[in-house]
Amino acid sequence: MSDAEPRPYGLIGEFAAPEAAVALARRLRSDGFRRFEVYSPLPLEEMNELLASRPRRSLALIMFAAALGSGALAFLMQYVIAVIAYPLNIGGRPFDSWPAFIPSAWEICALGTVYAGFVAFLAFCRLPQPYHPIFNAPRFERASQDRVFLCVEIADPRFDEKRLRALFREHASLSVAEVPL
Amino acid sequence: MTEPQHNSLDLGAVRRRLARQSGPTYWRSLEELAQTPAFLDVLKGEFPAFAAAAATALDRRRLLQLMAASMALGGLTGCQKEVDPRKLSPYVEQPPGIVPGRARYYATATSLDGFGYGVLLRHEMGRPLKVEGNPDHPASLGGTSAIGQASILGLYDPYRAQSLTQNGQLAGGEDLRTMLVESGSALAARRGDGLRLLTGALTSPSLAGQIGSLQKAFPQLRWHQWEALNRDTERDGARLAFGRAVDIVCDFTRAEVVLGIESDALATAPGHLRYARDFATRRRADEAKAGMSRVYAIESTPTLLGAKADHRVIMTPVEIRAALRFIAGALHAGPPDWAKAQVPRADHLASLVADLATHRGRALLHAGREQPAEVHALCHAINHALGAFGQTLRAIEPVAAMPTGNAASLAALVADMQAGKVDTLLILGVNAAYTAPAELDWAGALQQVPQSIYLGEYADETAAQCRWHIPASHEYERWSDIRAHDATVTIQQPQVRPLYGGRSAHEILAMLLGTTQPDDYALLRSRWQGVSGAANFERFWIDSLRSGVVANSAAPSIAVAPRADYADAFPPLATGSSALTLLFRPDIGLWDGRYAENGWLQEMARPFTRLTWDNAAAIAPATAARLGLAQSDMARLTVEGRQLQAPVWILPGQAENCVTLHLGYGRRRAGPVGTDIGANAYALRSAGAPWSAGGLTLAKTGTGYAFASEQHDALIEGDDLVREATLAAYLHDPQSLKRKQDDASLYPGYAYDGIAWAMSINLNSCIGCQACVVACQAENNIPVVGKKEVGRGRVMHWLRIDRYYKGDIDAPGIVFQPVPCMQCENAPCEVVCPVQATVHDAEGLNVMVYNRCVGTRFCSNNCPYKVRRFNFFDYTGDDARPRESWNPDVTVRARGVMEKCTYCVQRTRKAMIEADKENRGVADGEVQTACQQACPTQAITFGNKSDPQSAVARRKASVLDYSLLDELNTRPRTTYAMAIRNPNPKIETS
Amino acid sequence: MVATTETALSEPVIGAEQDYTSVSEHLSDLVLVQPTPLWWYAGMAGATALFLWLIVAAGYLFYYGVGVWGVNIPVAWGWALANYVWWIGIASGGTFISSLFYIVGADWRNGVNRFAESLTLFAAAAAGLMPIFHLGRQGLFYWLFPYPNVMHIWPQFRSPLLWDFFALLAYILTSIVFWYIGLIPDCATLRDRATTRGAQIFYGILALGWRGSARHWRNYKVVYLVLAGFMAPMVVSVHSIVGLDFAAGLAAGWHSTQWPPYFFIGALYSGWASTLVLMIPIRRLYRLERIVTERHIEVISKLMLATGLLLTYCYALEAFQPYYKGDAAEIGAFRFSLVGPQGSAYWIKTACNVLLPQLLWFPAVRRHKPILFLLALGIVIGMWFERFSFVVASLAHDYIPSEFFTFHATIWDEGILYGSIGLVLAGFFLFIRFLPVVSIFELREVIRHKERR
Repeated sequence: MSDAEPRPYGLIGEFAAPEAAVALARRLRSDGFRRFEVYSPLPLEEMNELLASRPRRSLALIMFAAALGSGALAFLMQYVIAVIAYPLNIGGRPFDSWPAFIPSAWEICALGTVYAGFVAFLAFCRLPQPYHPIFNAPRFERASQDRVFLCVEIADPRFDEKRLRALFREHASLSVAEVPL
Repeated sequence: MTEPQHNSLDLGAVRRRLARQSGPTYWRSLEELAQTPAFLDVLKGEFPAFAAAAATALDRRRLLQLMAASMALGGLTGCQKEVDPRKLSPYVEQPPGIVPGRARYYATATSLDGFGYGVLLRHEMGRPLKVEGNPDHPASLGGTSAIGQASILGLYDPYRAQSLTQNGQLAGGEDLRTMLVESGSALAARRGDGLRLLTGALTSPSLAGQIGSLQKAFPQLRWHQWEALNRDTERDGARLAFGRAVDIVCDFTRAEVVLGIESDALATAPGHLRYARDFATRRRADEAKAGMSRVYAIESTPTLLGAKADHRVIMTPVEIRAALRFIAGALHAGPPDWAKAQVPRADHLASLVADLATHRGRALLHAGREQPAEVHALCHAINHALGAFGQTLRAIEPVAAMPTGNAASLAALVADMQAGKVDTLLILGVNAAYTAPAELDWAGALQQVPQSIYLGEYADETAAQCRWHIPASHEYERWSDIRAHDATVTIQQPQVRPLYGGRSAHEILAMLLGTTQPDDYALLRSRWQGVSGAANFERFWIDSLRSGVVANSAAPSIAVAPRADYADAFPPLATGSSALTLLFRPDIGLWDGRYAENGWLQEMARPFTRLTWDNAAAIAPATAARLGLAQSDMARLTVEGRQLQAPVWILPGQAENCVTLHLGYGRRRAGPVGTDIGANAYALRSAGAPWSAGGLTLAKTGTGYAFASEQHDALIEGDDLVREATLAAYLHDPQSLKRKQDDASLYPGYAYDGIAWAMSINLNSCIGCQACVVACQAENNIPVVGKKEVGRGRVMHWLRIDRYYKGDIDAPGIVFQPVPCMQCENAPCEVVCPVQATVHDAEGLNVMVYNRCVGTRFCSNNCPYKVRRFNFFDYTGDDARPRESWNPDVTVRARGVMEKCTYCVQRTRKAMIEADKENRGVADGEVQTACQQACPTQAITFGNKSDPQSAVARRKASVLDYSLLDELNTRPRTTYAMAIRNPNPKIETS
Repeated sequence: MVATTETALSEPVIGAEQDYTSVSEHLSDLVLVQPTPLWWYAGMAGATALFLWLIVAAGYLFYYGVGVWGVNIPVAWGWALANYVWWIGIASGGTFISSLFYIVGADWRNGVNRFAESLTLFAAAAAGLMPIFHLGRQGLFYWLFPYPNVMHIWPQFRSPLLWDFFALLAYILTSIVFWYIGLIPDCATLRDRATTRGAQIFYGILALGWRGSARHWRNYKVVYLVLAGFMAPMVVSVHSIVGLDFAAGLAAGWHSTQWPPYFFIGALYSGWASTLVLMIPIRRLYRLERIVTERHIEVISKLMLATGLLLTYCYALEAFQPYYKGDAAEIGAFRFSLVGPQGSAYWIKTACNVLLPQLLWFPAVRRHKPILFLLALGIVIGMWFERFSFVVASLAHDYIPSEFFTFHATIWDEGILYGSIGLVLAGFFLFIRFLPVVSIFELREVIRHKERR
């Protein structure tokens, strides 16, 4: 790589069948590649084991925490208001008529969870993100329609264009191209 | 607010303009006026809203506001006697006695039938706002009637006549003075020839005295009297029996057996409030020291007394006469062969006779004014035979100033008018054009009278026909005096300066006698100075005014004995035919029609029909079935060729073949509120048959009619809601009547260690008179919603009196049950309110926070008693009632807000604050709710139930105490004392 | 049962010839390429006209107050509340299909969940309006929200209405997220297929820069699963709480534990029916027969039949309970609902909700679209009458005979109901014009799943 021409973002290959892309991804993984990504118009369960497990669990944990938190908060709010802040004799019911506080607490709990989940999801996906170099890749619009793409970033220490092109060809990629940065 | 000086200058100008202004009606002329810039300026100063209204086109709501504002305008144009502008200025320092928020009471009397009922008017900041009974007055003892309660609305009524008119044109006070004084002197010249005076029944000593001096000045003067709901039958009955006119004063406290012959003793008879109180004391089985009385009623149409009777015998008028002759004969009060005659329900009557005979001196017969003279005569004779005189009743000299026959008197007058013998007719508040018997051509006769002068509160039917209409002052606006049923005198002191510049009868008569500047006060004082005979007149005067009673002015008893031959004149009994009889009856709201303009009384549900804003041809279910008539069919009534259309109401407990039609409806010129409401029964009423007309035909017109009834379902099975028992069962084992109540609850109840307000309503006492309903409306600023809204189920009354029938549809038991808010300790309404707009307070009241209410209406759904009321529209804003007449202690409710009874919380709070200031507890009976205070029978007890000595606690301790729908465990603070009947065992077994 | 199973299985969940390309093109072209069809303009115009009616009715209502309706004392709740329960019921169907059948992994779900969720959204919006219209002082509805204020006044948390307030609020807000998350990948597709600048920007913004990378997809699946896991009980709770609005009340006939399930089942029922009502014509007009196949119709019809039978049981219970309890007031209220002035409502509901669905036993009926459409429509209408009859009868005939009364609707009651229908339809027409009516990426999953089998 000479410094004259700008360095590309990476090398991308287009596949017709998800299986091919997944197979290549396995191969790259076993070869120790780290900075590559598969883009597909539909979720590919097979890819999951190729990815680090941490963010996934933490997403679930965040939502669980949000559920507990918002639920408890909602119940506490009702308790504080109805029992401590401004207790009133309502129809002869005791101030602390806790069973009546549960329905609202549940609804607020669900609300909190869903929104926490949504925000966490966006955060983990780094969304919204209007610009991304990958969009410069030729024919990438098909990634949201009917083609699967695999892109190896140039930043990967093992990045070697020739070898990669060979690998792509070997895994029946329809086309291989550089992704300009 | 513009600067007063400038303001008042404009007023003067406007008044002069008004004086010059002439137009067909006051209103048209006012609207013309309203366009002039000068006037609009004043309006902006005085009534911004009105100014806006006057400038814009009128829709319904605007018009009402306009009317309301007009009241005060009337004040502007009317009450200023002086022509020169006067400077307005606010209080620099409070005048003594006027403390904002502190009420003052002034005694006076309100009249019905010309008889006085003592009242105390509550004043706030110098404005009379609420009528209460005068406990010192023998005809009231603190109770009031619905009409009495509503009288305050009449005082403020913006539709009262406000302008003096001559031939329909506005006239000035000067013109009137000149006219009266001049015609007075002219008449004096010819000794009053052609001068006639027409008054209603009057008992005012001073007015009678004035008329007396009028008769001296004009010897040819003839005084006529026409009271549409007159008591001629009673007078004639007394004449028949004793050969002289007497009035009867009953004492129900001493009567152990009462027989009411369609008696109005609890409803409309002179002194009915007193009678109701006495009657009730002997009906509360658990309290009556002297034991519970037994009541029989014989009647054609249900009366309040009949509803309370232990035995209610339904008979047609003819049968009633036969029955009374039978009783008289059996009790040796008449020819013995009467006792042998065939009578309906003979066995029933026999045991009744036996019961009466065993209660000599402790029995009492009372007949309503609607009964023929013969029946009254028979009553007198039987009462005498039972030794009732001096025991349960007494005879006194007639109280009315002129106890003559009304019908004859009016007929004579009309005849003379037609003969042209009358050139000056002075009518003092008699709306003859509306109430005159149908066969008299009153209108035609009036055409023959060159000078007709009408003194009346409203520009009504008669006012329209008379040359002169003088707006009369309200009885709370003038000095006068009046007698009660036992002749006790009350000196009526004015509560406020005439709001619309009305004039009193005293003034008019005085002017006719040549006084140019009449002074009622001086006249009254001088007269009483003459007759009081008090050593210290000032003391006498002050005491009389303060107490509302002239001491020892009650009439003494006189001895009477029936003539031996009193029965000879009796006509033979007509054999009962199946022809229909039409019964004319007074309406306990509109009376003879004079209160048609009173929204409270129009919207008050009638005790039996529960109808508002209507009268109806009430017929028995059997009769309806026979004639193929259904509820609210329109029917054509024909009597002697006179026709009237009225809707049919099927009334259980009505006598067969009897159609009851209440008087006072179908006014043609009552005003915006009362005109064309209901059917005008006077169109069928003749002088010969004032109360019951035979030969009635009833034909279906085919059209229907939409009633606005406050109650839609009446028959109940079981005794869940209204519990009843017999006296025998009660005396045998009181505890057996106690209903077990299971208070088990998962929740610990709240402890009300301070005051715990509670109410007890005694079903034995409630006579269904509706006084409490109107009192509640007056106290709590409850708006009138009108017929359409009532018909849509949106009546606003916080307190209602449910009427239920039990048993046989033709002769049902009738019970009344007042239902205010129950103030449940486990209030279902509170739990479902999402915004805490209805909560419990420290005294256990279920209070309503109007300002917090968002109007989900869930509370009403959840109230099993359905006592909550909702402002579906801006009812308060639409109410024509002048703002200054609302009770300042009670919030007016906005549109979209729920409202309900809170035991008159404004009153309890006031009492507690007063008690706190004096560092003491609230004494029992110190605070009364409006309904309790108005109730003539003391059916309602209110107080602190945590004080075992309090009246309410003691009533709740009674075995008769029960709570409504207790199975719902709402724990109501309002409980009921179950009704006890005292039937004659002989009749029960037979 | 065997026969039906066979038919069900024999029907493919998606046309055999369909592949990634075809579904992507077909569904996105409906939005991007295809010129707006005439029927859309016609439908949109009609819907908007109805919606304007709502605006007029609401304006009149706000100006004069709830008195313009037929409500009274004792019947303080009228059409507004009936409409509310009806709409929230319709709203429940969509989310339930989408969430529950996602969890159980029913493949047919993917053809219809977008319809259903969108319907949920607009129906929930309409439902949300009703309680506000219903208030006596509409402007103060926010007093139900626990916000700190100088008066230190708070809402009353024991009130079922407050539970309902939170339930509705949470339901609408979560439904929006649930619906939108499902939309993101499809928006990416539209973004990438869009030819005009405007469309690219519009869908680009909606797509939030979705790239469809494996990481995206994995987070997506996790969050969507948990959301589905929450939405399913959410739907149940929301409608049970609506049931509690009445069950927690004291009115005779309301005060019973049977209502929460009763209301939920009714909600599903109207949910299925209204989904069919919208799906059958759209499927035809948008030529989606190969994507929303006979299979989907078949399954939903059968679910509808099953739910109908459950509801029939509820009705039986409703009739049985008062007599079993022997409570005079409740028996009275029930008898009133049968023979009272509103009796017709009871019999209409029985005819539409109990008898009508029995036709679904016949495969022929299930396959015959026009009949199925009318049948579903009948059920939707029947459900409204159920709500109406339920709300009014108990109120009109409570404990105290003197306060028995009835209810007469006014044109302003009608205006609100018909207008709200306009609101929902207008929203739905906008949806089918500007967004893919079927979840495209989920179809791709179905196709892949099919290929691997």
